[in-house]
Amino acid sequence: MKQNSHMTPEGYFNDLKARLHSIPCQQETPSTWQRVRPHLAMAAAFLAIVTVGTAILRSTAGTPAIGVQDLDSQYELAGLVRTTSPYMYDETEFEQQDAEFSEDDIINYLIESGVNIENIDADETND
Amino acid sequence: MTEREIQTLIKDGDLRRAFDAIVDTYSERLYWHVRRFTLSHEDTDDLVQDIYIKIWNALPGFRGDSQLFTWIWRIATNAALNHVAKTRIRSALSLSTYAAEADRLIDSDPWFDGDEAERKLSKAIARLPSKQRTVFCLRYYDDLSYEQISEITGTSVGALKASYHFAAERLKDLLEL
Repeated sequence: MKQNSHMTPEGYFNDLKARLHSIPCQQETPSTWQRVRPHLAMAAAFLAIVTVGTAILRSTAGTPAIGVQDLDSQYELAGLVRTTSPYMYDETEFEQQDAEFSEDDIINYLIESGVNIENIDADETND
Repeated sequence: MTEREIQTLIKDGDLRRAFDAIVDTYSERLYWHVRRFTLSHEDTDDLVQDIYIKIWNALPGFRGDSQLFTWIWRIATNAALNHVAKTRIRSALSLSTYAAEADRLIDSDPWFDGDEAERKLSKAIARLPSKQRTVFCLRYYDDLSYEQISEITGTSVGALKASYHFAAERLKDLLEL
């Protein structure tokens, strides 16, 4: 081998060898678990998001705006809240209107409506 | 540790000890081989590490069909020639030439310890085509036989002898001998 016309920093080759000896540790191939773990973590996170999202959607969008058990209280509130036709929800008003009609008024109304008088009699007989 | 002992370690699957032995046996010689192509201590330092990473990753596939030394030198020479090719491209992109870049590297190298004749020889070798440069360096500096160079480069011995002859003639012209 011919004379070298170049130099290196002092102690360079000892330092180089130390760095080269550490290559196998740096290049260690990760185990199957280490390779799969990030993918599993992503899959678990995705699954958690889907589960929580579904639960939230079911608890909100799946419930009717007026629950069956809340229907009565909604009608009760309707009497307190002013609407375009409040009397529609006012049961007392309906009762008062009913009280103003006598049996004769009803019969007259039916006759005027063209209901056969025999049918009215039959109904009364059945009663 | 001898090459045969290292090959036995590889065959036995003791790759870690085999690699350590390769580092201890060849790293210094490999450094100088690579530096004749890179012309820079810093680039050589990076490249030698890359080469050893390649050696470590390829070691399980070493079947012993060729000498361990020529196998290592083949990896190193290919890496060094790739580095030269990249430098050529970088020089072309910056509207310069590889010869000018080589001159700059040799002249600005703080670790150059030769006289003016050696500086001229280094610059002239850098001007050789890659194949002639490889053959010349392996033959002149590393004292390898044509058979070994043939294993490293995958070129026939006859073609290598011709390349070396042309390289020597070209160097004579460049050095005005």
